[in-house]
Amino acid sequence: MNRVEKIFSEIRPWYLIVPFVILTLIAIFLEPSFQVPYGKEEKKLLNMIESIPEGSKVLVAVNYTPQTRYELDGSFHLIVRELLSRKVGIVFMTLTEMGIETISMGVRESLSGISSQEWSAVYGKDYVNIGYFAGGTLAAGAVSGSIFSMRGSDVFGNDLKNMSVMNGVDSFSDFSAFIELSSMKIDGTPAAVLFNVLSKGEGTPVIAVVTSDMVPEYIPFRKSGRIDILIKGSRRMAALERAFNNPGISTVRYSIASVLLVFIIFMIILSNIKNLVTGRK
Amino acid sequence: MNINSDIGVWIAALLTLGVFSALYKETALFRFVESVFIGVSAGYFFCIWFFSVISPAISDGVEGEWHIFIPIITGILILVLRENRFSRFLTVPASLLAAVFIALNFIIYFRAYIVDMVLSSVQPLVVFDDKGGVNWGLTINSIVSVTGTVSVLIFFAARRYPDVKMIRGYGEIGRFYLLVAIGTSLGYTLFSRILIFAGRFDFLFSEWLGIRFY
Repeated sequence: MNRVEKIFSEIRPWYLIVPFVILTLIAIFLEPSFQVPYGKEEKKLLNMIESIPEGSKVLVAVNYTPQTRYELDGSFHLIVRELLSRKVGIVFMTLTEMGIETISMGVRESLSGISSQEWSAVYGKDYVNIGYFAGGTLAAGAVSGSIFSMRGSDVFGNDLKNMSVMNGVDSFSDFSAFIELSSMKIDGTPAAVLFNVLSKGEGTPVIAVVTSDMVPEYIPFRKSGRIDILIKGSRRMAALERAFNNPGISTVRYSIASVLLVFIIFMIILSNIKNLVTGRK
Repeated sequence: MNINSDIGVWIAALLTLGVFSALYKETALFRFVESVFIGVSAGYFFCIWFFSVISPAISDGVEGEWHIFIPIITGILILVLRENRFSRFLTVPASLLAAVFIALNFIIYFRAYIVDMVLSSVQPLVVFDDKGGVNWGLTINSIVSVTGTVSVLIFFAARRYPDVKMIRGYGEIGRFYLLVAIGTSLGYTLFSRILIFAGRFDFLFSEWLGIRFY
């Protein structure tokens, strides 16, 4: 074993964690902000949200858990603020058990820092959280056509029929749009597809905003037309903020991850050089 | 530096550090955190399922929608009929649940996974724009897409007919497409995991310790 081989062979896997952690901290504290140009999908979503008439209702499915909030929260805040500021009612639901917490935290953060002079949102009047639905319950409810057949009360036990945000809403086709923010599939199928196939709401636009790891799962359905607009992962979420002329946490978080990804690619190249030098295959 | 005084944030921070301790080696702290995570998850999921699914179903059943009791009784039977002298009847409730699941999912899978996918794969190889000229971008996209679909199908056929040279040759192109797909998928997953990792550090330093340099 020569000197170079000895140096490389003494590198332990966990040694790499230390520079990675240091770089992560530097990236977080420097808050880089790479501007990503927006494309057709982001522009389409912007136009779609702008075209929703005041007083309409939108169904937002929050199918991600608190651990993936770091990636999806930016888009959640952006969409919720845009809809509520345009006086569009939001009905939140989730198809994952942890989604109830995600909705509560997301709404609280979306509304924080908004002064009442700009606009305000009241629970029950402007938005409601109807809670968790098992995939089978949603399928059965969608086949029957009525939301109230699936659930008569919100997540706090209040009667949905007494809430003004539910006025004019009975079936899925009464919504102006279905927006899914997702980091997982539900019973093996994207929830946006589940909704599109079962809801009979042929004219209701279906939008999916998904985490990077879910992009390969959702792309075939965008291509086949089951999903009308697909925001594909962190990079496109940053582009979405650009489209709305509102660069925020998605842009910063995408930039942080990009810096770290460059470091990982550098490490992969280095490990290949190590294997080349030590003759390991 | 403005350390958070919320007990919940402190517990979350200490548990996060416990999980990160596994980066060095599997410690007792990591095993403890792992057990806490499994236990808390089970308890949380039980509550959500009970109050969001089981309890409303029983209420609806009591209020006259008696058909709700069919899946409830079926579920109870699956639990009760296990490993006793009546276990041979377990197939009845199990097959009922399987039949309902298949019936509900058949529509979704047939339409979204078979009909739509086949229809979207059938496309013209040469795409023209509004003025009648060839749209080269979409044409190349179409050729790449059709070549990929066909060659991947041939790749699986090549495993069945390894002696036919032509099939094996096209299969190699399919293998290339599959590797590109797997690589892309791994790249996306890596990016997502990096964000989760960065998210935990952001939580530890910004929310827990209250350190912000800007």
